[in-house]
Amino acid sequence: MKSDLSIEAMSKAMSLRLKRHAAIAGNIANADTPGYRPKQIAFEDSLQRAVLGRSVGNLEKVEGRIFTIDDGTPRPDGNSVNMDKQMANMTENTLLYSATAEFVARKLRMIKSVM
Amino acid sequence: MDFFDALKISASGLAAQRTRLSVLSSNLANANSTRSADGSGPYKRRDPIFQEVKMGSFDNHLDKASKKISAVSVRDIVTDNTPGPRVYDPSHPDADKDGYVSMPNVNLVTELSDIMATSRAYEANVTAMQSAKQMVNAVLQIGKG
Repeated sequence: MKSDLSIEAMSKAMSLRLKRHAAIAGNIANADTPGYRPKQIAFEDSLQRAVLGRSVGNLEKVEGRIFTIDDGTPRPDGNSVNMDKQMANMTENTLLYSATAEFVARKLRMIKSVM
Repeated sequence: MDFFDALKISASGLAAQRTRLSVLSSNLANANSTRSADGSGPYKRRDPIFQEVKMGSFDNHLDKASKKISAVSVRDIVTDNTPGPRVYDPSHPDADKDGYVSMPNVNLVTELSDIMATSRAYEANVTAMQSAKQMVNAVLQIGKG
């Protein structure tokens, strides 16, 4: 029988989304820092690979990859944070985080109702 | 990396923007001060310079990605030394021997637009904080019902 990893996968996704939130908050806080370039955290593909691999070990090894990427042409002071883009990313991230939390809650309710 | 790091980062942004607002208000308030505090000529406008600060909690040393996430702080408040306009007013106590008064190099339009940008940036940090709070609330709902 294949074990159901949905709760593990979802909690991993939540901790990665939390990290992404911190990265975005850092970008917003540094929106006026000369020479600052926005940081981004990527995890979707590695998480998907781990879920398809169907083992808790793979899932635990998933780590967010952080990289620096300009939102657009840097301003004269070298800063390249685009506030609108960051706000949009943050909203999306928060919504997906809440949705994942809701799915975890429902899954637990399902298990509870079976018991 | 935990919720409090995200909150701390946003809080550092709030503090930095608030400092910037004080500096800008001081520039605006002194737009007509022909004498600076140390008595050397007119008031010179000041500008805060921000710098990024690495988050240094123990947790972060275990995690490569989190180490690169940074908060913000005010590195320095620099004085802008561009000369201000000179106005002819012989009756002014600070007028030189030709009757000209050196005015501060404060431009009201620049300061006011900077204040607007500061207040927007402050709001953005508040929004980031509210999002973090929303995420905490979502997690707290998991155990219920």
